[in-house]
Amino acid sequence: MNIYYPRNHQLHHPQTEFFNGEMIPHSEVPSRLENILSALEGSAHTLLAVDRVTDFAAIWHELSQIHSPEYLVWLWNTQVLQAVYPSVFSATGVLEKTWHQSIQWGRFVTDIFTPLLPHTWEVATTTAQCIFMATNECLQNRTSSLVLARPPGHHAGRSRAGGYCYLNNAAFAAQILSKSGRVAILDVDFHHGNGTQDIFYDRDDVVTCSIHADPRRKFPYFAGYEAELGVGNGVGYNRNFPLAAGITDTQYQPLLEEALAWIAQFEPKFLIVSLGLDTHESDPIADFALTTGYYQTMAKTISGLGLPQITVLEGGYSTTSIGENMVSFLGGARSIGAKKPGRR
Amino acid sequence: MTEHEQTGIVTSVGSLGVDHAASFDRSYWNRPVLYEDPIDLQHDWHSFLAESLRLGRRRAMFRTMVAPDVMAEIRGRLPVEAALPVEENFLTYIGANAHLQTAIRAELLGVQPRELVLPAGYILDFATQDTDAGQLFSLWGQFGWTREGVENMITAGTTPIVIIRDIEERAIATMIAESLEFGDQILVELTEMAVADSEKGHGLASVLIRELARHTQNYFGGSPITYGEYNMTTGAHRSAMRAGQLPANSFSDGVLRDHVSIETGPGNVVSESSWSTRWLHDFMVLYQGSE
Repeated sequence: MNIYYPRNHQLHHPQTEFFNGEMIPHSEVPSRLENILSALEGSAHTLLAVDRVTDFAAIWHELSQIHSPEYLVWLWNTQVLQAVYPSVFSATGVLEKTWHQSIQWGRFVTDIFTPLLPHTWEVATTTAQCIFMATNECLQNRTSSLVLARPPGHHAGRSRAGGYCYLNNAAFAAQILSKSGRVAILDVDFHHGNGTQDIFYDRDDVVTCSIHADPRRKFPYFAGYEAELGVGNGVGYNRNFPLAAGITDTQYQPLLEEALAWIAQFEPKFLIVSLGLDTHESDPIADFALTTGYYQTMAKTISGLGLPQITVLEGGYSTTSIGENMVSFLGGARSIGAKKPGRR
Repeated sequence: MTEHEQTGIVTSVGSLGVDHAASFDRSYWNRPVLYEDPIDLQHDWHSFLAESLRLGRRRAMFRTMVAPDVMAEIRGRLPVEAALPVEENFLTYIGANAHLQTAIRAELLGVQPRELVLPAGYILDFATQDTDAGQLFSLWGQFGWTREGVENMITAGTTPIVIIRDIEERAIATMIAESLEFGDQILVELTEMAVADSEKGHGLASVLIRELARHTQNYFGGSPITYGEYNMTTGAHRSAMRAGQLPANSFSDGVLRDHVSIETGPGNVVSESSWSTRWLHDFMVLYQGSE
């Protein structure tokens, strides 16, 4: 399987985040991806490091279909700023034209732990290039691939960054593939994929399904409930599975199967998996109890749909176990669109 | 067919209004209004940039007038590349590229103006001769000129020009000036500076800049805003500094990043891209202060 990742990802390195009154080390750090790359050394997969954006016009065009141009230009412009940590937000969403930076940042960001750094755009768009290449490969060969995305994307909504996310990588992949047939997005991150849901909430060409911690107790709090089924054309095309703390392998598996059965009824042509490895029992900011070995079962179960699949890394914050968990997942996914052994 | 396509005359100063089909994959907006509110400026820049990016253009360049208190507000907020003082306001370049930096970064150390003397054996001239076409074409071919374009320029005889001739009266160095009415100001851009390879090292470039700047003051009258955009890879910006021109660096470093592609100087980074980025160079904006 081809595995794409942004070679420049270390340029995006948030140092700290403010949580519950404390300044703590940031969780979304480069060592996450480095731990995965180390674990994949010597594997049969083909690691493809992407240096920079080479298809900017096409990528911008597709990004404009899932994010508002106003948001994209604002995000693009943050390159000229020093590190920015938004701290004040609109509760009503009503904003007048204003020049004050705090208001502008608060307009496009949902929380205080998603900073805008000088290289954020550069790395995020290089990740988008990875997605672009993976979708092209998928469309040409019907093969599956993995994108080790940094920064992650599933909390990024149509006009908002948040939850460490800026550009919605999974939605970007789905947007491109949706021109060739219905797409399903299965989000198995610990946190609800609120950005992905926001983007496709009124669409019936992209089915969205998320299995996650109950938002009554975990981020993103304001989305991810069972009753959220879609609007307009999208009614019935969104489904959420909010779960209690301490979910084990055996408790998770039937829910995964139920989610996949729900997806299958729509007969999608492509599958995007938003893979968060923060469902692991060791994750420092989550409270599920999945084991390393289970990720292989998870991947095999998902591959049972028999669809060309692009798996996109979302969360997963244990920088010591994320690599072996990914290796376990790939152990189950290897049969999907398998290619001859590659090299790094 | 554009005027350029009709005449073959290469222009640098551009025209007023939005042009999303400017040379070197650029979007260009010359807007002769004075911004006195940063929100309006940001809005217009964002709108222009969004359209440029939507159209897949490599670079967006917005040139307009900005009030001083607004300059202070946008510093570090909008990508100001250069700003040169015009009365109490600033002619401001806001620019950005869709790609990463390609041009080799030149050092920004300044050089001091010096007393310039045309070396013996050279002749200064402000008029063309019909026999100049071949030599001027050999100097300007690198900038995209055609022989026909040079001949048309000579025939028209409307372009302010400085030529340094050798003892045999061959044009061995030259530079021209272009003008643009920009609101109630006249912009005069000194451009197409070229010195024959065999004549380099004698300080002729600085003489060209100084003499043409003086000539245009008389030619256009009043107080035109006289400036140039100088290739930093070839060190042309240092020639302008020696001639007494001032960097437009009040609110930034005055450098237009990856501005224009010219096949001179060492090659830059070759990046895989849908744009031609092989020969992009940084250009520094320098202007003529009051003497």
